[in-house]
Amino acid sequence: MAHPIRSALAIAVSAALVAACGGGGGGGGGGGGKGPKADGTVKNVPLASGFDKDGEFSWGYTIEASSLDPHRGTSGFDQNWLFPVYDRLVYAAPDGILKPMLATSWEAAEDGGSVTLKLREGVTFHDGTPMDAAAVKTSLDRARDDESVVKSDLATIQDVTVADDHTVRLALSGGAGAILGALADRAGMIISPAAIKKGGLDTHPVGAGPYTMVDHKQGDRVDYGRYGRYWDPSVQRVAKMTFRVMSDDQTRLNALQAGELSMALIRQNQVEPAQRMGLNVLAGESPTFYAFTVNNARKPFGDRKVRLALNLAIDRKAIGEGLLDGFCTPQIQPWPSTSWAYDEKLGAGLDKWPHDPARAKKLLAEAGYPKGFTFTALTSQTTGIAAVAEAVQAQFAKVGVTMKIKLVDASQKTRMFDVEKSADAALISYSPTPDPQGVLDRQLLPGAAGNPGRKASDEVVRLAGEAGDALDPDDRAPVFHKIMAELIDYVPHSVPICMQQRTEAFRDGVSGLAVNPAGSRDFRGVAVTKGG
Amino acid sequence: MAGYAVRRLLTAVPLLALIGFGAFMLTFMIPGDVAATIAGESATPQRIEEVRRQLGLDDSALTQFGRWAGGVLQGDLGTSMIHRIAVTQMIGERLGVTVSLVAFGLLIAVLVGVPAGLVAGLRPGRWTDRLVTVLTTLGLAVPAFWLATILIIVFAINLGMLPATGFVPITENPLRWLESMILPGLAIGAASAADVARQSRSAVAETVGRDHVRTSRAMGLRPRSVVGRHVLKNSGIPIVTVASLQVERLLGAAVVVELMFAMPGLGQLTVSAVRARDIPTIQGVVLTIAVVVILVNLLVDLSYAWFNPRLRKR
Amino acid sequence: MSTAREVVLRATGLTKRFTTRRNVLGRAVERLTAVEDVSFELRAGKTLALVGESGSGKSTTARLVTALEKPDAGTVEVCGTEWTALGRSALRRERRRMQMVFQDPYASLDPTKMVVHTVGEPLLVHEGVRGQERDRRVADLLERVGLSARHLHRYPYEFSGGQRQRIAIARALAAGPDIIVADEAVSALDVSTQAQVLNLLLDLQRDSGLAFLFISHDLGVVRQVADHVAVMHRGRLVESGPADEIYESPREAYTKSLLAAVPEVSPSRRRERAGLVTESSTGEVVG
Repeated sequence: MAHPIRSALAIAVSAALVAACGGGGGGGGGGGGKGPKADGTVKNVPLASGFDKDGEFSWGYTIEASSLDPHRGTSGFDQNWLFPVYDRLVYAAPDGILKPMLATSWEAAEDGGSVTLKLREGVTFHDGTPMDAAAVKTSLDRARDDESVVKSDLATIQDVTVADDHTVRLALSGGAGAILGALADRAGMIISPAAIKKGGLDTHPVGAGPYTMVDHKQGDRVDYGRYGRYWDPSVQRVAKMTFRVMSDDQTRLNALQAGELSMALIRQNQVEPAQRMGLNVLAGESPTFYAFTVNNARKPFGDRKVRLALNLAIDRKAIGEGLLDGFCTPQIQPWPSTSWAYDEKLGAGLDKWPHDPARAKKLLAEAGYPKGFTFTALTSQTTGIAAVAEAVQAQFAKVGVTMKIKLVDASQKTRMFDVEKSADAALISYSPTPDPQGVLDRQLLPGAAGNPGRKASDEVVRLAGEAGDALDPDDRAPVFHKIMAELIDYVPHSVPICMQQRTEAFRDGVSGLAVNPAGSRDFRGVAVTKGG
Repeated sequence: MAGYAVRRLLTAVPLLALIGFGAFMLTFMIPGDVAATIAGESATPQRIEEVRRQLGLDDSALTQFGRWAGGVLQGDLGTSMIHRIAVTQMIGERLGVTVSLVAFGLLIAVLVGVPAGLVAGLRPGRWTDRLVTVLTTLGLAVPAFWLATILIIVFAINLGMLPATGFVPITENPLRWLESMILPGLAIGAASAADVARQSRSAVAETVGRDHVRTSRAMGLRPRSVVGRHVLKNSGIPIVTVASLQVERLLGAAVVVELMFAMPGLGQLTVSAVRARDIPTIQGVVLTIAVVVILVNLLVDLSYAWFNPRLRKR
Repeated sequence: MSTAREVVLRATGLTKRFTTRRNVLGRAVERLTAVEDVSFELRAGKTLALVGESGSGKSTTARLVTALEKPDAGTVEVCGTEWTALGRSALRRERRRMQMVFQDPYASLDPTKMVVHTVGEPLLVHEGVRGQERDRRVADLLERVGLSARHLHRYPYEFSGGQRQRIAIARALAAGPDIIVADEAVSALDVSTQAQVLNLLLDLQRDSGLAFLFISHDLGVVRQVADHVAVMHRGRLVESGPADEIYESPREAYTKSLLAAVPEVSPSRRRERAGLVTESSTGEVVG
């Protein structure tokens, strides 16, 4: 994985380079583009030449934004609705590389205690307020206040100071590299300070993005229109965008077929039907994965042999390639192969934790459970995880372990497993943070919300501190690889089963698309041809 | 009559209180934690507890109900915990969709059901009667979601005549509103039309057999006038009764149909609110629907007096 | 009442069958003969009673005669016009000549209509009379049947059974008929009310020369009004003739058995009782 641009990120990026990067900001520019895959799906769609500048792009999604306020919305999927309106300080390009957006360059202090961001000049918010250092400070301070849902993403920021009109300095407690990733997502969305003062951001977002919100019908749609004073008109390839809420899976396919949508999220089992209807399918890895997780403070999960045995009992291939039709990549790394954190040498890692029921049985016997044991795992009905849970249940049964499944919803799982610590285990669908470090912070470290047992490898704890400090992914990657090696040895309480793929169907004529490795749906630079 | 209506509305108040209380307690029984949802995915247990305290979720159910009921008495249905928007505003935006849908379904039920029942009931045993019987059996057996699927495939996807999804407010564009209503209206109204047809048929058949109708026919009144002057009004009570029952059936079916046609109505709001355990929103919707049902029942009862002069004395 | 008058109603060979079962294709597989080869005549100013048990075909005969149903065979002639041969609209115009009064006073009036509309309906249909003219005519009719103008704007539920039959009779009269078909018209009333209504019918006949086809299962009642009696049994006429003959010397065994079932058929005693009650009142509004 050679990434020439990465090294350039450690140092200040020149203004000339900024313009070039900004122009290519859209999808289709890069990413792990491999063209059409064997199953007829594509990983990206390069920009078509004859697109329609007055075109309209519409997208169907499963759930509406809980709020259009980046700092207040409770859903982990809200940002999809916010990207057109809110530019971030940093842009996470489809190839996973951080590029300038509202910040044209950034520089970490020698000691890692701060990051200084230079801001783009001449940018205005949709309400005409100029985007300057004071505005960025207001926004970042709001993102860190007690009511903010993205507070934890910016936890390492101690203070935001205005150095001059277009320079802000973030005082950090560490993790300079991780903070940039966070600034490319919701926490880095910069809101007009005038709009913050005015209030009403839940329904009337005011950012500095390429599109303004024209209309918002709760539970139905958000309409976006081209912002005339955007700093980079080259990514404003359609005149209008409409995002619609369609919670029923079949409804989205119907709407696509009837030409009422340009593009929509589809389920993995809808890929073939969609292709038969003459629709195109975009499929690519997302950082969302299915995981089996236990409370290692509860018996018998504190025993490494038991954890390893369960791990070896899981047949990841059967689940990812069989049960989920190949739309879930079996692997043991908690990062997608497109992420810089992914260890190419290790790969899927299925040889490290192979499917080996015989050895699993032996380990259980050694741990004092020759006849296995019984426990209860929580899982939710949503996102196909119940099916995964049933498969895992059957695989555990083969080594004599009885896993009872208790269906609950996500918030109840949080309460029982994370808060009350009253549950043995859970099968979860892990939703990513902007930076790979999130897996450590939210799942693996002793203080993580998803680690009710509060136990972790000391070495991982030590390495995690190191991993966040560097700014350059090239410097951070080796640390992450070391962490992965240590995890394999320790067998943590939470282990990935497979990496979910994101699948979307789209009509002919849509171009400038790529799967964003961060898992979010940012349609920056999307284009449609006439009649498409 | 006005006095009767006022008395009926007053008796509805304790009923609404009971419904509100019942719904509140039921919501409490749904497992899950709205605080965990609101605090977000990466929230620490401490943060979740903090949210619980902020929202008053750590109070007893009764205390919380009292707080909610107090607000309602002042005309305040509260604020959605998830969307942070006033519940009255959310319901106001969604009500138009569901009311359109239910009204359209009812219109289809009455416009199709009553004539079909009339044709069948006027000549029991004739081929028209048997045809109507077969169609009503079919109409009642076919689930709304299945019919919706067929309608979408045929009329929206294959023929491209009507939209497959979406809702256009009547105030925005009446023609497009009508277009957006036809398929969901048919899907939701078919079973009701069948039910209305069946009840109308038996009511009409019963009325036609009555001596006074025979007398009128024997007297030389045109068949059309016989139907218009005697049959319809005398069959009115059972027909209006079954039509009013459709309002409840349609409200139930609206949940599914709104979902399938991606219409932002109360049904959709209810589903998402229950999923998120957004108590103020659930309560608001329940109360709104209860009020609608109570008002419909009142209107129906008042209409009985028009059909039956004997009841006018109340 | 002795001279031969003009025949106002003549039924010849009336036959009617009903389908009681159909196959899946809707074709009849089982039929029931309700009326077979029934013939009779009714003359102006006279009363012909059609008697028989329930299910004997009396009411079907009444429906055939009034053209509410089409016979499978036979003809009905009213005042020289063959109804069974008329087209729909011609038949509708002719219908005013023959009106019906039914048994159940609670079902024979439209409960949703005020008296003025019920009684005024024939006036509207046949003469186009409406408004004050109609109110006046209806009031006259009500007075003829022993009610009054103050009953115009009341609903059927406000009247007793006897009063309702009077209203039904008023409606029949409104069309200006030559014949009134009374199908069990007094059967549902108590004895004293029965007598009052019967007396009303007799008075009307005397005053305006109406002919009655009086259908009843009650030979005691029939005795008081009928000039001629026709006995029906299983869809056929088994015996017919002048009332006195039938009552005094029935020929058929069936007729005899019917008569045996009737208490107090002595005409004199019945008249006596009827007369006694007639003096009492014409009925008041109840409710």
